[in-house]
Amino acid sequence: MSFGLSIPRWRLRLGILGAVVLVGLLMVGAKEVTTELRQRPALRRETDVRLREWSRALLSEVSGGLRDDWQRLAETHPEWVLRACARESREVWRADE
Amino acid sequence: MSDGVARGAVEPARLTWLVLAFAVCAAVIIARMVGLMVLDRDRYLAAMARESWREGAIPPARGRILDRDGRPLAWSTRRFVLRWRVPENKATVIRHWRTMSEGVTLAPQWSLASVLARRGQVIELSTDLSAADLRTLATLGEHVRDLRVSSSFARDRVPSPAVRSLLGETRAVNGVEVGVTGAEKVHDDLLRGVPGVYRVMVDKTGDWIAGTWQKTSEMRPGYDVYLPIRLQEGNQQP
Repeated sequence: MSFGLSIPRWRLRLGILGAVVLVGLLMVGAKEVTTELRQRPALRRETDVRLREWSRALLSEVSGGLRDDWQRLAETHPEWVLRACARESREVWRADE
Repeated sequence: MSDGVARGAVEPARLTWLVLAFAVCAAVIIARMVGLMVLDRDRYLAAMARESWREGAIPPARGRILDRDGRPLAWSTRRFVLRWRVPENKATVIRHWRTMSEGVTLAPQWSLASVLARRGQVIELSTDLSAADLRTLATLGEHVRDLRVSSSFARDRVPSPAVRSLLGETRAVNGVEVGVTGAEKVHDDLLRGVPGVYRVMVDKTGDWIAGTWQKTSEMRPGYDVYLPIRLQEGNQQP
């Protein structure tokens, strides 16, 4: 059966090989993205825990800082507490991560 | 079927041109992708990192100075200060003032009239915010612009003039308490501590991007220093 195409066999093989390589690359890239997405929630949880720990430590330096009202602030607004205690942030130049 | 093209099939010449055109477009796209993702990768990554990452340093609490029995002679407490860049527009000042004064305990010297007289200037509305004030301010920032809460340390000492003279004075330099006279200066290296450092990625409005915060350096409060004196009764801290 002819479809009206006259593609040499070697070109056909080359095309199939190229398609297989492309699909392989896409699968590798997808695997990396999937791994990153799976790890992200755990990283965020870990980051939140560290944020709260540091926030609690900073608020304990306030007069009466061990009271519930101060420590509750560390639970509800840890990022905000850290930013309030930090000096002016500066840009960090990083060539690669 | 004839020697030429079968009925309904694409002519070989036209097909060849189509394939060639597709190949050229694909080559252009792939070349651009290689340029962006391989050749210029480092440059774009560096530019993105430069714009997105911010570093913050948290000054540590200064160590205490104690007498030989371990009773505090000098100690630091963290406090939170509220500053506001008063808007130029009078209506905005009135609106924001009403919002703030309802939810936050402000220093008694400030009133609407005194704030209106300081338009365009940065004023200190409170130097010792409470936990309730901070909780209110954490959400108020969305409604009142140019509010800034920052933290500083207050160095307290026992009331005795003789002991105070011995202890010396401190001064804040870039948010860090530095001993300038007396025992505060002599033992400054031990008392000062090491700032904690973190870095975080921010978006275009300066807000933290969730999950990117990292502590890069642990904060160490200053060491306590014992002086070879004994605090007399009646001169202790309240």
